[in-house]
Amino acid sequence: MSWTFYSASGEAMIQDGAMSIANNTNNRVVTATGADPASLNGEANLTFDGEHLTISDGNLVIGTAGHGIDFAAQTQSTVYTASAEILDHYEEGSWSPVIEFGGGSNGVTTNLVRGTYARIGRVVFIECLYRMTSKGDSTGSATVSGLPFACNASGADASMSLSWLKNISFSGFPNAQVGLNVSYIQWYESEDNGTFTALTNSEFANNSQFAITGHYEVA
Amino acid sequence: MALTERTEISRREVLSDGQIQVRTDTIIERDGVEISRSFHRHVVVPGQDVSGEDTSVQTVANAVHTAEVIEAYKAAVAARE
Repeated sequence: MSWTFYSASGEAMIQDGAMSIANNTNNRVVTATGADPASLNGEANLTFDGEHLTISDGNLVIGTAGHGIDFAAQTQSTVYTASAEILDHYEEGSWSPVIEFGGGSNGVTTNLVRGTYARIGRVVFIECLYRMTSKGDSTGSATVSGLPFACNASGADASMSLSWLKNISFSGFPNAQVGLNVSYIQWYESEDNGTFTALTNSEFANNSQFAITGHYEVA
Repeated sequence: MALTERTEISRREVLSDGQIQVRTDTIIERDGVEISRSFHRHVVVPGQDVSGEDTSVQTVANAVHTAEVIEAYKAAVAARE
């Protein structure tokens, strides 16, 4: 005697013991739609061949903060903990760098400003391009504010790479860093005699330009 | 076909020292369906003028940035300079 089970929508699901799944073919992952009895569907964009799970179109969405992709089965290490093997954050975007002197940027004008970032786990990589047309009248130590994330409160200051400098004077060699627990870049110059002083508005000109790249740990 | 652009504050992350990490999403929609989303971030520190911030960020800042938090943050920054 032949027999058939039907879903609520009237679709034949099981016929003589053989389950019917809509749109199915080899390796497709099957999902259910609706309540009992649900209809079953083979997902064209999600397949598993016994070794690899493949999403042919669409994103892998991590639905809960703090969860991610677990690399715990990677090459064994005695250093890293389980939580350090989960890629739980990825993000890329922009930020708005602002040159400040003594914490102010009064009268500063520019004709090109660009800031981008990419955060992978707890490390954020930044890029900054800044071209001034006036340095304004604020005075004091030079900083670049507007970083996308605050720096971690512990560990070491993060050294930035000054990949392009123009019309900025210094007597030693310049460097820039993101200090612990802050969200701005500080400018310094290291003298031949070992002193380490902050760059100020005096070292900048109205047409100063700079590019900064680097990375730091987020808070 | 109508293309529209809007922004929304999608993250207001308050750190233990009172800094607020803000993420602004720029969303492009075609006929009401999202086709693009990009992120812009900045940080609001204790004591900072927040009058130019989104009202939702102002609300958080006004609640978090107490006089004690502002003083502690300024002291921490001053200590490292």
